[in-house]
Amino acid sequence: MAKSKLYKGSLNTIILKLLDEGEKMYGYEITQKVKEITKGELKITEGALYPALHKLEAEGLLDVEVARVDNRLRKYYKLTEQGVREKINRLAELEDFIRNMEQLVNPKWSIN
Amino acid sequence: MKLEQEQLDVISSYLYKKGLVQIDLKMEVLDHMANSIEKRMETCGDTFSDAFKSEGLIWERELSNISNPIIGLLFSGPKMLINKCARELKIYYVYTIIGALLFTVVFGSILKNSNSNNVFEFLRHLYGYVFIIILFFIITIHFAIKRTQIKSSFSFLYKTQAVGFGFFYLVYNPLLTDILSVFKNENFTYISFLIYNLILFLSPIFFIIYKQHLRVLKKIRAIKNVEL
Repeated sequence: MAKSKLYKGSLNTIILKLLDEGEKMYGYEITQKVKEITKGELKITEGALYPALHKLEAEGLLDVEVARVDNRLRKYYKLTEQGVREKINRLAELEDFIRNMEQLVNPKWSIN
Repeated sequence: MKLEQEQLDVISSYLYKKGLVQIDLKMEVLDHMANSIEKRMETCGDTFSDAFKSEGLIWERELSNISNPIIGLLFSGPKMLINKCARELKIYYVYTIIGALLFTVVFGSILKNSNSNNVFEFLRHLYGYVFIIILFFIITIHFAIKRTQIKSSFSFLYKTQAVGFGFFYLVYNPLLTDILSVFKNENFTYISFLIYNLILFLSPIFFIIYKQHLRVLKKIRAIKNVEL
């Protein structure tokens, strides 16, 4: 991830979220989708993406489908049932993290 | 702009030179590089040659040759492959160590209190024959993988583990050698017994890796007229 190391811990959750929306995606498509959504602010490098995809696959959160496209083989990833459940948990965790960070960075003072 | 077959062959040869011949990883990188090159040619007006060079620079680090102590320093390959294999192995090793430790503590304490030489003699034969059977399976699976004629990251992983641990089933076989001599009442130590159990509990790894290799093949063979 070229932009910031801060995103690194959230990469798996980003992948799960994208796959939940896109049903099945291939590696390059994921990098382009992230680039498009973040308007080029966040760039997932190949060195970060594929280890993350392989790890999620090994954990049983992703399933793989292979298809022949444009004279070459393409590996599509999609969420397994376990992956769908895990996505919900990890997104909730990420949202909590963002909320906490926001409170730390921009504390709202109040008089009780 | 879609790449021609010859251009895809150039990428394929590049990956072959880098040692990325395992079908599950190679198809993924080849497709990624091809997509990226096509985009460069479309949006930047690059020639295939220029776009390929730029893409090669991006992948240089991921495809650099490395080795990893978890897999065994005798084996090296593209970083992407080695790191994937090391990650898989770590999980298997954790389960192996936990299983062997628990078994050693529970069963070892029973053995230690047993003064019967017959029990130790029975175990010496049991471990010896089981190790020979495991070794037979390791060799059989090795040839079964070879017969598939397709290399995957799992076939690479199998090779590293079979070479690395295969000989353990001979060297530490209590029927053939007396290295640890744990199966004698007066020589029993938990450490020696743990080593035998680690070797024993390691055996499912070979079958799991083989099954993973077959899973990769099944996905690919599901596509008709695929050239591998």
